[in-house]
Amino acid sequence: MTSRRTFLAALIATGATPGLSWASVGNPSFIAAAKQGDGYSLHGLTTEGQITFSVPLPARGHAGAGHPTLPIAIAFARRPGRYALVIDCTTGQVIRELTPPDGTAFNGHGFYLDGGRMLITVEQNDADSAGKLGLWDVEAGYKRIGEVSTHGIGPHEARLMPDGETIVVANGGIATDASDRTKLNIPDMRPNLAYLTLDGLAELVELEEDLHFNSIRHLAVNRDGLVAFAMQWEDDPSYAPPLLGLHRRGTDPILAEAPLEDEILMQGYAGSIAFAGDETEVAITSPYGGRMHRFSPDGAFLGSVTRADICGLATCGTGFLASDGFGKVVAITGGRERHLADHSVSWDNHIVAL
Amino acid sequence: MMRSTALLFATLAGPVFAGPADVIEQQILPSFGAFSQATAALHDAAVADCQPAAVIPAYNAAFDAWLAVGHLRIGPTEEGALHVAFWPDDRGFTPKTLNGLIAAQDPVIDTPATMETLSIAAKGLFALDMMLFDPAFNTYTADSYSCRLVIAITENLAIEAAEQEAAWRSDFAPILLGEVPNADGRTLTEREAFQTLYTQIVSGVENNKIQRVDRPLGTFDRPRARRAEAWRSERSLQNILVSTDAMVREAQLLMGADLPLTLEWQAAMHKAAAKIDDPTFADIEADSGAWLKLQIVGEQIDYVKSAIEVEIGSVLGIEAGFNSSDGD
Repeated sequence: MTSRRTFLAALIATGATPGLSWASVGNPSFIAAAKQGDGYSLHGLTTEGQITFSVPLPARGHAGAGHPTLPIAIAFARRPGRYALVIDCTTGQVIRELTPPDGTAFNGHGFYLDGGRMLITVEQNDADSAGKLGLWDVEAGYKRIGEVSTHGIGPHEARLMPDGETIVVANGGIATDASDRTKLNIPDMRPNLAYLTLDGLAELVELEEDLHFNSIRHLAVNRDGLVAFAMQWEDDPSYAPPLLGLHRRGTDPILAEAPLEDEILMQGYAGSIAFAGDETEVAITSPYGGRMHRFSPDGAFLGSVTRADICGLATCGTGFLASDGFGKVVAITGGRERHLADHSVSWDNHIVAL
Repeated sequence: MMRSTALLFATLAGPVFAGPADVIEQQILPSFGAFSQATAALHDAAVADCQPAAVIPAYNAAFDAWLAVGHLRIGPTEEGALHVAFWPDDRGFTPKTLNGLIAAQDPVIDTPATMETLSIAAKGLFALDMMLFDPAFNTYTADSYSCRLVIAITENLAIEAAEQEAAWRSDFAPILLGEVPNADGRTLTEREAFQTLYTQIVSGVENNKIQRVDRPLGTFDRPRARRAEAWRSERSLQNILVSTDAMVREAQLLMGADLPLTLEWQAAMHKAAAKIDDPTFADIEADSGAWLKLQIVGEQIDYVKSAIEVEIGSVLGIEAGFNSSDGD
């Protein structure tokens, strides 16, 4: 039970001013990192692609995580991440700098849990790239309170399942040098999709051996627990592998393939993934191919959308919101693009829903 | 004859898309026209005499024509390019598909409409490359299924080329010139059109190195000569040079300037290429000197790309793409 005293302590600890909410920064529905001139920044976005707030970032950010109620965002450094910043979006002030335990690096993504009382960060050991989730008590001032194994190498993204307690993790399978991003184990990489509870491993899914170069990196989960995973192929892209997988607990994964001529154009790389708002589609983006590929939730290819340097993708309305490296934000519904906004930034890899 | 950079900026602000218009009107559209004509001539040649010796000269002419536009992976040729040139093919889809058709004497090839439904692996220049040059395929007689297949592939290619030319001319060029809106309902600015064409040039030169040089090079200890493009028709080196030259011409037209640094490295590339003895690169596996000569050509292509970035990208403050240069 939260007493008034601990509530106040929590407010001070989280750095939030009482009374402030996302409404204080224009009610964004998303946050997204960007490059702006020579610097980097974090922005709030509406469903119409308008910027509601902009705060500077000290370095290029990868993904972010937004607090469910308070106008606070976590900006993760790019891999291997030595810090994550807790940012007050009303002022742009960095109110906390989170550092992973010695011998550990943040590895891309993270999210708030339990109404914002806990923060989960995806991490890996420097020594062997073994993955873990870091657990942080937000109300105690982002105190590190524990960690659990992800049961895989090089995890990249983790998401909460609709049951509110299971976490699905994309263990990318790639061991990297702790000082740079040199990949160390490509010939032997073995990615997996792991379902965890705070008690341990609940289910582990691996793809067939001939797809072991397919690094499982990004995740989307629909309302009834269908997990979609986006992959990046670490061997020659002319192999034209499937880049989208669909998995429901307790069943075999479905690999969703586009026709050969479309698959080739993705260049073996999917950078972001999301379900459409009405959940009739799931899509992946490839900035290398300048393409979004749309699939039905049973894995049938529905079509492509071409947009140079497209990467950021999020669920929005009945369809998607997408961004590119040239500053554009578009709405995509049923494969049709609608231009929303053109900002003088280069949008980075992800759009994160609040 | 040349606009200065200052003048270019002035024209950028104006209503006429000078750089993009020059590239489209003086290079891209005429090149698609020439490609369309060359494939029609190839089809005529195959109809007159389907046997390799008779078809090969027209095949080479069509391939050369394609190299002037093959790097344009936007608009009608974003996907269309694969219908003309399905390569690389490490999984061997092309021989597999052709063998399947021939073994079954599949009548799917007998009409243009059914031919169109075939996999891209059985279409275009690389299906012909296999049929005309590979000993497992090229010994067919004039009354054979393979002869009909060669004619059908050339016909399909000629139709594809004509459609690409028409689509570029009537649909996509007007979008790039800001005359009609793009798929998202928005009209391109001149800067966006410029950036789109610039990105095609930079990534095209980059792909020349990655696909046409680095793939056969492999590593010094393990060269992979059979990963060279079109080695059967002995076009591997020629394809690199003809396509790089086309992209440099495009870069000059886009910028409306000579690009002296780019031209210098282009000349260096040709000089390095002249030292290569085997145009198929087959000798790189046994001869480390040959391997190094190819590697040097690759380095010169890298310098061509960097020079274009310096002489266009840096001058105008444009980049070829943020996410596509460094993903995660």
